[in-house]
Amino acid sequence: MAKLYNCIDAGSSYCPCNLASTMDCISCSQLSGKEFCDCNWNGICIMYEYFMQNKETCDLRKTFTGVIIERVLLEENLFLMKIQLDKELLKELNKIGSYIFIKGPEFNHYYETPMSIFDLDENYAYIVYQELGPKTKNFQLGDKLTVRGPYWNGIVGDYKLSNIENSNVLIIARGIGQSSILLPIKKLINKGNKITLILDKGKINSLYILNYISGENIFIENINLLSNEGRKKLEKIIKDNDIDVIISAGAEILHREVASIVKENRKDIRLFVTNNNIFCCGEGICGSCIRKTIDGERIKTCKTMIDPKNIY
Amino acid sequence: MKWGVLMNTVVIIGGGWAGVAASIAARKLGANVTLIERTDMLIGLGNVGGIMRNNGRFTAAEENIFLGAKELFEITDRFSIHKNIDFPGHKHAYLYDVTKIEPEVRRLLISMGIEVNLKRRAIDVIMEDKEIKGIILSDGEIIYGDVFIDTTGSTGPMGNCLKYGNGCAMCILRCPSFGPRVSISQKAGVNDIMGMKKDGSYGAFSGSCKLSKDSLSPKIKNDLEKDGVVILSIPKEDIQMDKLSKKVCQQYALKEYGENIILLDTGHAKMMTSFYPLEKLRKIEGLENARYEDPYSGGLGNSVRYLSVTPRENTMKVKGVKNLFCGGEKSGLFVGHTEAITTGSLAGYNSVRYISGKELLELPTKLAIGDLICYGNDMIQTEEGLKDRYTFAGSTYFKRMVEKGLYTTDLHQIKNRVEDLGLLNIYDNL
Repeated sequence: MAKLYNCIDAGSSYCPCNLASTMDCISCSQLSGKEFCDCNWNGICIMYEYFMQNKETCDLRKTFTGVIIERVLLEENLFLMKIQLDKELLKELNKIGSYIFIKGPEFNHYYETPMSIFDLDENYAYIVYQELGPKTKNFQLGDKLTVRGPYWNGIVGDYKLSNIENSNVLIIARGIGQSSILLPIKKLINKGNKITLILDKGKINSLYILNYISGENIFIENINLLSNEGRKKLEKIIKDNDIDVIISAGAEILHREVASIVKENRKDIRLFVTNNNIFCCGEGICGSCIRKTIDGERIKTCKTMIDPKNIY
Repeated sequence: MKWGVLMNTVVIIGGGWAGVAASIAARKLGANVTLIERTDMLIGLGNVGGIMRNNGRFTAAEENIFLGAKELFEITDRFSIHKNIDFPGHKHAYLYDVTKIEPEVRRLLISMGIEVNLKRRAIDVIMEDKEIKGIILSDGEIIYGDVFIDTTGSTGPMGNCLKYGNGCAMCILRCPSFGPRVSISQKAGVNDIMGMKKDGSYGAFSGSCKLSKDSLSPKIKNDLEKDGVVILSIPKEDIQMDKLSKKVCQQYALKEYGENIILLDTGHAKMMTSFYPLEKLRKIEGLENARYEDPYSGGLGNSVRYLSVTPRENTMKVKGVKNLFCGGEKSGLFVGHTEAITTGSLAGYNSVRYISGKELLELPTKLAIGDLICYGNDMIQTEEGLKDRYTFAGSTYFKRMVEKGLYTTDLHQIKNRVEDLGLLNIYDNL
């Protein structure tokens, strides 16, 4: 019997989900096959909601139609895309860690690719992506898009990042990881947090994020994070500053690096990591986002709120 | 401050009557005591209970007092609005005012220097070689200690009340607001035992619900406040005798309780039935405007209990964990405040004996309270025993108490009994 965790969808209009009907609920002991209650408590009782809906699960995420309004080349193969979207969907995406799946309407669902929300306003969502494989090579200005969402666990942690206030937050972003951090930066600053931003160009060879941020409460350092010297610098920053929260935005190699520094020096820091690139269905069904914890448990990271220190 | 100071810390999880009693017992021996309670009130179901000293509970209360556990009985006596009243099957009951007693208990604990942590929920333990090192709270904080007492009870949470009852009835434990109860003993690796209903299904309903006194007719309200008890006939077509077997409080599962609405004045109008559909209730003369005070949905159901009893020694030590004790419903299929105070006090006392390296006290079965603790433990080993409940106030155990000659209201006899066993005021010293 796996351990139970809080679920990012608990209490939302997407809970209880299909996992309740297949007895695979991430949070509820009884909806995952146990006889008695033993949950981590999400603030609501998922089993209750399930029974109150006569054991009907909520609908899965709907698909919407979006339109590519702008497509700006930022660097070789690197694009910023402005997408006109349904206003209700945009409202629901206005959260730290939000992401969507997109594809061209003429392609079948194999082409759906997860994209974190870089920024948004009342009518548009902005995403930054690399044109790399078959899923990303077909977006053109003026095209329609099929958009599925909203999804929220694009930044994984065992706590709601939106509840962090008046704290020292260190954001470490490398390469395309920059595309996940603008929304968190804006929201965290509004909550009185002080932000230190460590950037690494990574493989995309660009620090495009710098064109979108400014403000007194942000301190920016530029480091090659995967070099020995970079690691030492990062370690010193983590040791010397009174940091409460770290967000690691980038590939898993970066998360492992950051997690090991945190574990060695300041275990009490709340760690969050981006991971939307590994999602496929986003619903806890397909298993593509499963990561093993240090104890060997298999975690569906598309929904599970888990401390990344247990994974990396 | 008359309490001495031991350096060791006793951590008590669950602030119901059992946890409160355990805190007092441990603090009196000089230990640092930290009490953790998930809601914003102490005494748990004691906030809606109120019946003391009926039948064998009188003997048990006095035995406790002569052993030295007098503080809480002093309060329940002092806050009793009716003393020595009889109602069907029960004699010389005291009814304390549930609307006034909790703040007084809280003041007592704080005045004794007990660290009371409200709105803090224990969710897990830190274990090392079958020994608990600390308790993890839902906000991530860890409370370390030398010895621990699980008085988390056996009621709820919501999913259990749904699966084994009629759903969350919105009782005083307020799981939706404060989060669910977590079985500490189970987190420490000891599997819980579940009580059953007579039909073999798990759990049992709490046995009473409370009406707002102001919603009763003036006559019923007056009679209730004058006499402490009012008995109203249930219309023939609404009598449901089979419901009696599903309730916790077998001492109130008598014929009279199936055919009548029995109201007791505990500040609220305590109605001695698990739940009762509001529209049927309002058919009864004088209850036309009745509404529930606890549980709020008393027309539909009540809390489900006895889903989480831990195996233990008669010293109240949990089997399989070196430094964990238990009390209240966690320690057996017991019903009532007196039973909670009895088991909690012994757990608190023995927890300090444990950290002081002293032999643990087992109360002799020549005392009613020693006999109940032992009998309750024997009975949960059997399937029939799991379907029964144990209380000084009636049913199986009170019958045994009478047969063994343990039931008496003669204070001299009770004092002599305790004194002859060399246990007078034993709880006051290590």
